[in-house]
Order: sequence, then C-alpha cells, then structure tokens
Amino acid sequence: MRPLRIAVCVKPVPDPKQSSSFQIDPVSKTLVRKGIPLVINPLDRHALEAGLRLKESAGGNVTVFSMAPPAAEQTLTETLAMGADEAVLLSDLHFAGGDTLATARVLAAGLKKMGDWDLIICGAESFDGGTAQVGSQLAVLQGLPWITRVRHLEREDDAHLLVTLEDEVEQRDLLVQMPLLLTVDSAVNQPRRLSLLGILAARKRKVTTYNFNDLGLDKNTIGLDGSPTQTRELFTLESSKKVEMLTGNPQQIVAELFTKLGL
Amino acid sequence: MIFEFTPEQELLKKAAREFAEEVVYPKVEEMETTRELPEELYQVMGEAGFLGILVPQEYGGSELGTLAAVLVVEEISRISAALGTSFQVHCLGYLPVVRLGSPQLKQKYLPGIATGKYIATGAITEASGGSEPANMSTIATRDGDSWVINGRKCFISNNKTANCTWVTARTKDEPKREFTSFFVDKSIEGYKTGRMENKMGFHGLDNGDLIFQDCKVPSENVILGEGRGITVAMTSIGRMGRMGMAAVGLGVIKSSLDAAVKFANERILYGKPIAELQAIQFKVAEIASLLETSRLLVYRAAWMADQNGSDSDLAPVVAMAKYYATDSAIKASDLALEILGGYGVVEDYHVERYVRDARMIWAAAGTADIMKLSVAKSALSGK
Amino acid sequence: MKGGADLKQVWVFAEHQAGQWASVTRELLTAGRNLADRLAGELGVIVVGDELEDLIPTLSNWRANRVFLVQPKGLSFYHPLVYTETITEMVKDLGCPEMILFGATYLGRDLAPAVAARLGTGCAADCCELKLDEQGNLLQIVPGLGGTIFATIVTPNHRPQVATVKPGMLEGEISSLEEKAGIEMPLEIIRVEARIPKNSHAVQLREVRRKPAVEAKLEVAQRVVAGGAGIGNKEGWTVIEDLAKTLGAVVGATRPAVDEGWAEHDQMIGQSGKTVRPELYIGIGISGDMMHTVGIKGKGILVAINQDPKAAIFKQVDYGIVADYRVIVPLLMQEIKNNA
Repeated sequence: MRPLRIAVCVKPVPDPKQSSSFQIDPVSKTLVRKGIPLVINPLDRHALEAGLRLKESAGGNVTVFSMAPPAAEQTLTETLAMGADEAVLLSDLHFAGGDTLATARVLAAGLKKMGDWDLIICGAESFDGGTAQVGSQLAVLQGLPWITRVRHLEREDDAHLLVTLEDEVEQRDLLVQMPLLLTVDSAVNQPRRLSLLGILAARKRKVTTYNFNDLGLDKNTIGLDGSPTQTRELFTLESSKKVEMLTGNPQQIVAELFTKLGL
Repeated sequence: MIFEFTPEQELLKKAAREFAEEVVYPKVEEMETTRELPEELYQVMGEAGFLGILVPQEYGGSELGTLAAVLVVEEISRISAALGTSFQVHCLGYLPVVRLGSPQLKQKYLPGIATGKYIATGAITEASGGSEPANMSTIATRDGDSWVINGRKCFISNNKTANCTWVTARTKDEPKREFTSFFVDKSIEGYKTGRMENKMGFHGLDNGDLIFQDCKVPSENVILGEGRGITVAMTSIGRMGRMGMAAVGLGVIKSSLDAAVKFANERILYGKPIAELQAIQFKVAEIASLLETSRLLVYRAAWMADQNGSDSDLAPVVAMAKYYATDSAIKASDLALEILGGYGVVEDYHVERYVRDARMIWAAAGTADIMKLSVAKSALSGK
Repeated sequence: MKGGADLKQVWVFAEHQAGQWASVTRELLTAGRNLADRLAGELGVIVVGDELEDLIPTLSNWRANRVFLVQPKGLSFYHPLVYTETITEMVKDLGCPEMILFGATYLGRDLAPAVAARLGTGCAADCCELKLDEQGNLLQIVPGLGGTIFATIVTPNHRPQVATVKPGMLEGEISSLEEKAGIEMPLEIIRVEARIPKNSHAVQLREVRRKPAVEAKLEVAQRVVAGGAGIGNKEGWTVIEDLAKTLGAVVGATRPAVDEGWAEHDQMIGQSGKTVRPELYIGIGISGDMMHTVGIKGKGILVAINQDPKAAIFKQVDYGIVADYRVIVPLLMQEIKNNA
C-alpha cells in the first residue's frame, strides 16, 4: 500500500491531572496559568498515535501542527520524541484570542503551506475548550470530507480507510476515501509512552515556527477580531441555596434530618 | 554554569515520571506484600528504552549518559525506591562491558542489555566484607583457554532477576595478590542464584547470594584484562553504583517532601492546616533544603562522570554525593514521619516505607563511612 | 415562504428515533418556541428522514410554524457532507434565520460547527442555558475547563447564530409552554431536496450495529444518593448502596468514585455525565466540585454529608452535615426503618 502524508493537529493545554488545583482569577475570570504545566491535549495523543501506526504499517510521514504561543515548542518537541517526523508551530500575537473558526483558518493556512495531505487527524475535543469544533471546521475550510469521534481506524486499501464511530443508538462502520479529516476518541488506541530512543531520534528533527507574515492570512479572519463568536462574560456558578447546617450529636442530627426531609 | 535542565532532559524526566506514575505506582502495594518484582516492569522499561541508557547507539542503546541515568533513577525512586535501585544495579552491571569490554564482549551482550533480554548485576561483595574486597575467598583458576570460578558472593541486588553479572575473583596470590573480573551469564553452567535475604525495605528488589560452582567461562569473558579486576569493579561502583544509590536517595527525599507537604496542607488542627504552624514549617524547610543540596551534589557528580575525566578525580565527588544524599534521605524521611504524626506509621500513607527504604541506602554500594574516607583523602591532600 | 419574510426565524434541527422525537429535541423545541416568541418571530423545524407522517404533526404541540422536511433517497445514515450541504443551501435559499439550534448529540456536535464554518458564522457548543440580551442576541452559556467555569458566548455580527445544546439542561421549561397548547396553528410543510455534493461518495456506510437500549434511570430518578472520593474505599461504597436501597433511590457518583472503580461510568453525575433533577439528593463524601454539581438541576432538596467543613458542597445544598458518613448513614437508615 502506498505511503501516506499525514498531518496531526495538536493543542497544548493545562495539565488535566492538576485540575484539582485550578484556580480562577476573580478579576479576569480566566485560569491562573502559573505553575500549571502545558501538556499535549490528551485526545491529541491518540490522534498522533493513530497517525504513527498508519505510517509504521505502510510508510509515509507524520507532521504535527499546532497553533499556540511560543512556549509550546517544548510540547511539540515531545511529539517529535513520540515519533513525528516534523513539527510546525503556528505562532503570532495576531492569532491570539481566536475562536474555533479563527483557529481553523490559521491551521488550514499552515497545512496548505506545507503541501497536500492524505489524512489529517485531530483529537475529538480539547480538554480546556471542549467544543469539539475545530476538526469539522478545519475539514470544511479545506473542502475535505470528515468523520468525527472515530473509535476504530484501519487501512482498507491504497485510497480508503475503514472507520467506526458510535452515536447514541448505534455503531457505524464507514468506508471513507482519502484525502479526508478524522477526529478521534480515546477508544481508538492506547498511545505509546515516551521512549528514550524516541528522545534520541528527536535530536535530528525540528520544530519550525511560522508567524502571521509566513501564512498569507487576512487579519480580519483570525484572532480575536476574526472570531464570529465572542466571550461576553466568564463566571463561576454561584448557588442560590441558603444552606442550613445541622449540628449536635449524631442522634440529634439524624432526627432533625429525618424530620426536615419528611421521610 | 547552567543550573537548568535542557529541553531534552525535561523530556527524559517526563518519560521516567510517566512510567513511574502509570506503570509502577499500581504495583507498589503488591511489591510491599509479595516482596517480588513484577515481570512486566522490566518489560516496559525495555520497550521504553530505559534499560540501554548507557549502551552505545551502535548496540541499540540511547547512550544518554550518567546524568540522564541519574534523572531516570530519581524519578522511578520517587515512586519505588526498590525498582529505582534494581534499575541502577542493572546499569552498574553492564557499565564495565561498555567502558572496558572487548568488542566481542560488547557485541555479545550489549544489544540484549538494551532490550531487556539481559538484565545485569555486579558481584564483588562477600561474607568477608564488602568494605574489604581484597579479603575475598572467591577464586578463579586457569583451565586451558578458560577460567573456572568458585565462590559465593552476597548482598547482591537483582541476584534472582539478573541473568548476567560481572564477578570479581582472586586470580593470583604470589608474588602479589591479583584480582580479575569476568562477565558471566546464566547460560554458563555453575552460575546460580543462592539464598535470598529478607530485608527491612526495598521490597520487590531481590537481594542475596550468587553462587559460582566450577563455573567455567571462556577467557574472552575477562573484562579489561587479567589482574585488572579491581579497576573493573571500581568503574562499575564508582561511575554508576554510588551515583545510582545517591539518585535513589533523591527520589526518597522528594517523595518524603511531597507526602509531608500534602499532609501539612490538608490536616486540620486548632481550626487550620498544620502547615500554618511554625514547628511544621521548620521541618518542611529542612526537607526542602535537603532535597536541593543533595540534588546539586548528585547532579554535579553525574555531570562530572559524563565529562570522562579520571576515576580518581571523580571518586571523592561521587563519594560526597552518595553519603550526603543518603544521610539526607534518612533525615528527610524521618522528618516527614514526624510531620504525619500518628499517620506516619500507618502503611497507607507510604512514609514509613520511605523511612525503611532510606535506611537501606546507607550500606549499599559502599557504606557512608567508606565514602567519607574517600572524601577525606581528597580533601587532606589539598585538592 | 408565506408571511415569514420579515419575521425573525428560529430553526431547530429535530432528531428522532424509532418514530419518536429525541428527548433533546423536545427540549430544543420548547426553548426554540420561547425564543421565537420573545423575538416575535417564527419557529421552523428541520427534519431529515422517512416515514414521519405520524410524527410531524406533533410539532404543532410546540406551535411550530413550519417544518423543513428532507428525505434523502437511499441515505439511511447521518452523512456529514450531505447534511451540511443541505442545511447550508437552505439558509441561502430560504432566508437566513436568526439562529439554528441543535442538540449536543453526536450528530449535532458534528453538524452544527460544519454548517457554521460553511456560512462563516459562529457556533457555541454544549450550551446549558440560552437567553436573549436587549438587542435580541442569543446569550449562549457554555462550560469550559472541564466544567469548572462558565462563559456567556455571543455571535453579535453574524447570522445565523448556531448553537448545540446539552441534553437535559433546558427541560424545566416544557410545562410553561404546554399552557398555550390549545391554540391552533397551521403547520406549513416545506419539502427540501437533499443536496448531494460531488465528493459524497467519499463516505459510505459499511455496517450498522444497534446498541442495546439502556434504560434511563438516573435522569428520571426522584431520589438520588451520590458518593464521591470521601467514601474512601469499596467497603464504604456498600453503605451508599444500602442507603439508596432503603430510600428507594438511584445511586450516583462523581468522577473520582468512578475512577476508583466503586461506580460505573453511567452512574456519573456532572459535566461529563448525567443530569439529574430529583426531589431528594443526598451527596456523601462529595467535595462539591462544579464538574459534579452542574449535573444537579431542578427544585428538589439537596443534602450533603462531608467531614470537611470547608467543602464547597456546603454552599450548594439545603442541608449540610459535617460528620463521618459511617456514623450518620447507619443511624439514618435505622431511623427510617424504625418509622416505616
């Protein structure tokens, strides 16, 4: 079977394992980022693993793309250590504050700059945004077919893949033709762990950074200004409940609760 | 002087940390009760490329160096000092082949070392005293083109898990006593695991005797050369063994600090977390400082080893790192035990394991007393 | 389209299964009609499928003005390219609506952003509330950061405003709508031809496997007993199950309890799990993380038992007890049994 040119889109997100220590700044109502390391979005690791397995079985290469601040270079180096052949960081202040459509436009420009792709793989959704929108929007902008939340993926022949998805009532196996875009759920595979030989191999690979000027984008279509959706307000939910604490010894507490609940 | 990890070192630590948290942590309780090493741990370490960390690339290793090995040992030891020790013993076991072995010896064993087909250890200590190796009883006598080894080594870590080892034997008495080190694997008859020790800590790490009974090895298994046995042993122990145990100490200190901090922030007394009490704060400050000072000494020693200078220049630096990190691990785990109060002695809270594991480090790869002799010798000579 | 030319249009994409509207569809229709009323506009419903002659007329229960019926020949499954192309062309041909609402189902979360991208407009995902501001813009309240924070999203300068709505979030308003159900309203049926784009052959159905129907227990439970990390171990979890049995309640869990293996994933209540609206909820050993409590809706009585007086849950319940559940719960069960 012919080798594939595979692109994987990756987003650096605050480490979900540290979510219990997340704090919201009361003024800006945004996450206090200090001290919380960035990691590869968990579902994007599954996307990368899917790409690497396809490359390993029939040849080809895997290029990782990310629209992120400059600090994301370390995260992209990790994808090189996992086995990606090349990583591309799309970074510019102009890109900041973009919603999913504005982000998809930047990614589309980056993908286009590096040539044609047989397959683009994304994680189904990001841990921090959680909208699950960038994948399908990126496909639409490139005029590609797409399937979201793939749970099983295999190469059928030169031009086709067999994918499985699951909705609320059924599982569907679909025969899909490349070029296309897929987003994947965690069930699709078990990502490999970082290996030292991978870290060694990554020495020979590089992260390339492109900014606004490299991509030929219209300023009005990207970043905060280019986003059709805007965040008007961020808030934490305050309960309207007025709590009554029940006190006393356990017997008293239980008796009072029993009465109050009318059990 | 750059006091920062490189991006590659950060990735390396991440790889080891994720392995320790995801694969090793679920096995720790089992290791404490069964006192056995689960097989899959070495399998995963082999697949992840940890085992060949000092093996040259041409033999399938990653050749990342001593500091890299130290960082890996530290991350693993934070979760399991037993596995961290086992891994560093594997490294000291094959290091002489890397540095001093013949091309044939390297070709024969190093590819398997990198994949985990061969798990290694090193054997010099005997009942006569690890601190006085010259008094050993194990001898090797010539038999044509081979040597026959007879003797018993004790306190050998990985004695059961390892299927290969370097072993130092006395090969000459007159005119001067001489020692030779051989590399042996379990396909060779006469090399077997002996009795196992029941230890206070490092549960899951096997430790005990290795028996050599008419063990006939070809002369190509001699490392470096006849009569060079002590040099080989000191390469292993001086360039990895002591460094590795110091790194295990770092892991124990870090886990003690994490446990103490977590408990101090959660435990409520007098209406507030005990972290707000000065008595607790002073102890935490001590643990934190022990961690930083130990790390600096150990990392510097490991860095120095990677600069490939002379063994004699390296020895006192490694010795200082080893005894200091060991003392610090004992002190830090004790302080953590105190901070946890009554919970400190409850197994579920792990700190009592750190205390027992910390004490295990003291005698391993050279007691702290022997370390201080090395440091003193260097300091007194005006270096 | 008759009469609708200048009136604001609210479109709802109505999913259905086995001849019934999906429960999220019912919620969307209610919300859609309310929004249309407030905008003095009309409700249009997009339905894709065959043999719906019995189901379509029920849209009058929600006073829908019209239904856009798409019956793609020979297409039995959700084909992203066909559905996206069809709805995009509808917007261009039939007049741009103010908003299009989808359920945040597999289909909705796939289709809505694709339609929005085709039209260059904004899409808000997984809304848990929909409101209108003074200018008539849709205020789309969505969760972020795994549910620890909420955002009000607006699409002020583009139309249609596209949104997906999390099932179970908007249910409370159905009763308010049914009061007006007596009014007769003619339902206009507009047949829309499915648009098959040139590359639609790139996606073909190979096989379908129906999943066994799972009875919704938690979502309809009147009483819920939920446990969290504070339960401590598997033995403690049996205390939760016993209390639930004694009360005739359904057992729920937080994510930590599921991760520990004490409860199944489909017992999880919260942002990534089920929404409950019980008359009585007792949360035991639960800290009150918003990721869990966002799944508790309705006007029932909420009780919390937790050893930590500072737990956030105590700000979100009616009655709070700072105690070891291992002491309180057995006593409570005894009290219930004594008085039975």
